[in-house]
Amino acid sequence: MTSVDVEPGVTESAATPVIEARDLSRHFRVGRGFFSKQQLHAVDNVSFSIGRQEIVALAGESGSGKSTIARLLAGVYKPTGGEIFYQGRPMSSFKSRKDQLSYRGDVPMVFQDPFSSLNPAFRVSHGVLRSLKLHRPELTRQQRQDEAAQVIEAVGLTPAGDIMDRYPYELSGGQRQRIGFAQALAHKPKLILADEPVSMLDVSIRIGLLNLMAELRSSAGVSFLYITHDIASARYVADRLMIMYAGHIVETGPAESVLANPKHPYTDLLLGAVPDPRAPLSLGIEGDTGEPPKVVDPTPGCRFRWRCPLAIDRCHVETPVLRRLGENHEAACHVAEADAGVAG
Amino acid sequence: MPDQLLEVRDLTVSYDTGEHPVVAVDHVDLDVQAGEFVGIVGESGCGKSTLLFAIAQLLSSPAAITGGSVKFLGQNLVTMSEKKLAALRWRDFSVVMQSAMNALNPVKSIGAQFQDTIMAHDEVVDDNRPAEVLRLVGIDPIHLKSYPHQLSGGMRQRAMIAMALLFTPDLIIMDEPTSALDVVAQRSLMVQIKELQRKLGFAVIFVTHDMSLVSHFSDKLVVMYAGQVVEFGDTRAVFDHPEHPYSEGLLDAFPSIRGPKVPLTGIPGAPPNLASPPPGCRFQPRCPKAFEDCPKIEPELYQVGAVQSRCLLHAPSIESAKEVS
Repeated sequence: MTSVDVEPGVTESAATPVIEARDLSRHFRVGRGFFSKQQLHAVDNVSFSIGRQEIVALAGESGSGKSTIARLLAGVYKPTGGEIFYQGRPMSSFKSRKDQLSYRGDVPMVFQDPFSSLNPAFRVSHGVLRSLKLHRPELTRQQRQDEAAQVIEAVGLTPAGDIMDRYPYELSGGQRQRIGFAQALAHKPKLILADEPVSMLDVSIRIGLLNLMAELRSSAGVSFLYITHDIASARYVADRLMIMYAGHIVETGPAESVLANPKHPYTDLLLGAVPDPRAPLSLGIEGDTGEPPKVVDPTPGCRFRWRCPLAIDRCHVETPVLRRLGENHEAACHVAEADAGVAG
Repeated sequence: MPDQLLEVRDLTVSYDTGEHPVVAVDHVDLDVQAGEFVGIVGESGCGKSTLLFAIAQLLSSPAAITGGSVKFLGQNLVTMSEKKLAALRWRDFSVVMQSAMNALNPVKSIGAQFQDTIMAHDEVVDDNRPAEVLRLVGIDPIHLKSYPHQLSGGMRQRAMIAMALLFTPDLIIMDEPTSALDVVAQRSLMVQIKELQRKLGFAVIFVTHDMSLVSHFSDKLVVMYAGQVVEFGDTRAVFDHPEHPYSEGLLDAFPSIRGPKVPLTGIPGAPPNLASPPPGCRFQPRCPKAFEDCPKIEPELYQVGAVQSRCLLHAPSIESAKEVS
């Protein structure tokens, strides 16, 4: 068996996705007392894959399970069901420290809050140099410095020499988040898990980071899982879009197709929430003040049915599954299925 | 009730940092009529939060008001004693802070915090008032017994707004109340604020960095850059025809969900250091439309149609000069 950091054969690599999740679940034990049997279903039977140099956006509200998926992929949580395959190999087989290290180097994470994810006591080069030392021990001290300067320049911070010696408080939010990307980039990753990388930043600088992601995809050949609650930014960078609600993926497909022709009523709701100054003035008081439910010991049925304007009787008794409703476009909704004439 | 609720004139706030005092709010004028919704937008560090704090008299050292006046219902708040201010706060105007996570006391129930506010004033308040205001913002009154950690982010922010409504004030000042929320919660909170405003008739000053957020909700819009007002006018007028390159930049900074997909650049660069602002127009180093006069002449607010813009392109003399060339 090949080691993870060794490139598999070219023919194989073209076909195998970088990462694939099959029936991935993560449940948490909740409730009072040590013997509580209550299970919170944060992620339930989720399957997806991310190809080479692909940017996939995972969108949904707070509490829908997006970050749990990122943590499962990063290896922070162990799945309670299903399996993650990295370049065709199941993640549960990465037992040795070498395997685990190389996986973590290949699939790093960029965090949401650039103000608390950098250690204020160290210069910003610290994180980059540390991860280089850990993941690429063959480099000499000088090579590490050069490499760090190079990635810091690659994320658009110039002059790198000057930036490297600064402390986090001397940088703006946007610059700090770029350092976050530089840390992830240092060990030549295959897939970067970006968990709401722009939501803490000013609107005027968000676009710069989204452009950076697109640029790194082509220059460094990485794939991205871009997690966001803002579907407009997802449309801007992503090839594919996955919409998540209460632990389920409810719709997935090419970004343009999902947004132009949303099948699931939840996607509609997300789209309606995006403030769009170019849209004509309409105070749509839909009165939707709902929030995603905490899914504790669920019974069958669609999890969106309490907020859904289209809910029918069937939604209360049968959990809808993802069905193909268009070119690469899938949705999990009984009503959309009936509309599309797909036999249930 | 007089129509003019708040009249801010020439308000200047400085941070005393020794040699170079930082002027964070630079001669700002602002009028708010009763029942009006005024949006203030700008990037981090443009002075918008400092302006709010100055209006509410919440500045603490080293920041201090060094000039100008804030007249609220005819009284100048700047020269008012702390004691008189305390009586006005919550009763006549209230402030909703950015992060309800930190603004609510984590070891006291929501109801106890409401009681604290009520007890600080001499007003006689109906015992049912706390339950009533919670119902107004769409939270079950059962949560008066809840602690902040038991509520979701959106509910906490709504509880803060409920608290601000206890005495039905004339003015509510909001400092980015939605910035910690996701888009769906953000939208529903905005709709709720607007509905409450219609029902109860209070005025709102709403600060945000996301211009598109207020596009459908505010009556007037103030765009701030580097401590100055750079554009002011009716919200729709500013959105339809932004007259300052900075407002244009803010508007085009973020992708739309409709229409063709176009590559965007945002506004390159960062706001200037206010200890040593650039000469002439403060936006000129980042401005795509800058010309040779911009670093030389400091622009004023010029009237352009329905809006006011602090851009030399609209200076009367330059206008004629351009037509000649």
